[in-house]
Amino acid sequence: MKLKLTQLKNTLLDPRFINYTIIVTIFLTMFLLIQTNAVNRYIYNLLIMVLIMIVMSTSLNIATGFLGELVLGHAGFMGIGAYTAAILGIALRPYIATDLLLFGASATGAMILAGIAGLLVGTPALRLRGDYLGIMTLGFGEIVRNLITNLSSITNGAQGLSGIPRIMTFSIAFWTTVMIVTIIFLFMNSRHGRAILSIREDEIASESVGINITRYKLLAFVLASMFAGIGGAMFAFKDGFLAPNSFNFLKSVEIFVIVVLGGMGSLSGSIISSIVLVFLPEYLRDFNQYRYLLYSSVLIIIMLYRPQGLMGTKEFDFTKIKAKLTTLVTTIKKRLKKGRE
Amino acid sequence: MAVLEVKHLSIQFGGLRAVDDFNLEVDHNELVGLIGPNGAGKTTIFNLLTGVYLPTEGSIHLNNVSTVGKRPSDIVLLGSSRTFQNIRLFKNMTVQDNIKVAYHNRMDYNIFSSIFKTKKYKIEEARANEIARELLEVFDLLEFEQHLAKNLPYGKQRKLEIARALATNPQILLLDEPAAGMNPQETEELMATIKLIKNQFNVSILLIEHDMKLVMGICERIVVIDYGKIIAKGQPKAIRENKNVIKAYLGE
Repeated sequence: MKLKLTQLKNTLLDPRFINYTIIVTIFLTMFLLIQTNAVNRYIYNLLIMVLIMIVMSTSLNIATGFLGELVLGHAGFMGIGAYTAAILGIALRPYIATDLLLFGASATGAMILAGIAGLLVGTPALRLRGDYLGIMTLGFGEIVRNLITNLSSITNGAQGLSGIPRIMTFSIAFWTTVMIVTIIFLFMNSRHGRAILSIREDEIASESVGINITRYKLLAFVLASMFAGIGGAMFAFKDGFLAPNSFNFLKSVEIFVIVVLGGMGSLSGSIISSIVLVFLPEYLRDFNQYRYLLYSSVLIIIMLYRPQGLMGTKEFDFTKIKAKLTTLVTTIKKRLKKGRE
Repeated sequence: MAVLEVKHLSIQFGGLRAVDDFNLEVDHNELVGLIGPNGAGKTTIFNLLTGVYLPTEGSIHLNNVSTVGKRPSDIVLLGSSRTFQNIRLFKNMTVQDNIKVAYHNRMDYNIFSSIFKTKKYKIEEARANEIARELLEVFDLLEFEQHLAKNLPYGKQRKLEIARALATNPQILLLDEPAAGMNPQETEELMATIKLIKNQFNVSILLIEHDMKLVMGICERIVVIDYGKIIAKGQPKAIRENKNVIKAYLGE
């Protein structure tokens, strides 16, 4: 009996168990709130938008945060994914009745096509560095948008594509996001992820210890575009309507800003800043045009006082909260004591 | 049998012949010093050996395999590894991760293993941690295992760079001015470390150095170059008395 109790205690204190529990708790809370109509349609849509932005920003974080390259065309990959998924979704709807399966099939197609696009763009682009790569990816994003606008026979051009099945529920969006973030996290903690990090730190040193830098740069770039494709698929099934202008340069910048604000190289940072940067502009609607002033001021202030972003390169860890709190309390106590003396 | 065999190596940068007809053989477990005045072409030779530059003429063989035209990362796989004149660590990574990056090619699991955390992933990672610990122990860096590399003191950063180079399991280690910026005490310590590496890891070492005490103290053989050409070769004692060498360093 005693043995069983210690076993139970060990499982309960296992970091993985704690993380799983917290994720499930978050999901159940949100799910209950939605089911009881405590969350209205407007917020429900915003929640899904947050999840989409989490997928977009964590995927961009592979290329920008971990690999350290300036990529300003992420919305292009999102657009490719969105349109692929939408067209697949419309075509497959008569054959697949289950929403989840339909989303799975379309998102897989979106992921593959966005990945191929990433490979095609990345192969020449990654010979460039810094600003030059930024300009080139920016150009790519615009090319995608223009292609979508002009390929009217497939995408219905500037009028937008409608009639896409609206199957993006909170549950599907939530678990897709959890899956993608987990995959990126596990990937970054492997030898492959370390190789990518080492390229960011010092390309020459990385090559001198036997890392094939071309291969790993391309891998990071392709992975980022694949997950962006899934983000696009989520976006396509959200409103049932797609327009080419959803994937313009501003969208790319928005995703980029989320990554920089959250901290380049921190997945939890991207998650936190996705939440903040989706909700903040919405809640500032009362200020009309002034909200853009406030929005940019927040960005400027954060960049001035915390140039490394909210989280830097660190990850937020639920399991370490207790330890952190204890150290915080002791330092406060010490300071108070010093103050008294 | 020679681990490294260089024949008639030359490189031309525009009108400048930075390295001219350089020949060298380094035997198994031998410690060779490469010295010369500033700008003589020492680091250029290192860059040729590691594949950063493509030679204009000549051949380089590592364990009888030609390395000319191969990528730097592939040359590492053939068994050579280097350090840099100005330290190049992965500054924002932990000391342990610095070693584990270098251990990359000796691990064998694919992306899917890392995503599903398979048994193979766990075994390989555990082995990498073990090897990293062993290496850090040799270099007295074990207590800093979880520190960021940039937070180490200068001398320890140098040591970590050497440890990282060794993690690729090289047969020849190329050290580019390992004692640069060190005080006499640290240099003394470094000499001991280099001797230890040579014996414990059974590698050949080729080192560039300006600190004559270090070079004369530990090198078995010395090659002196000036203006890209070899001006003297031989035992430390002979080099010290060589007229050409004295001329190159002190002038007429």
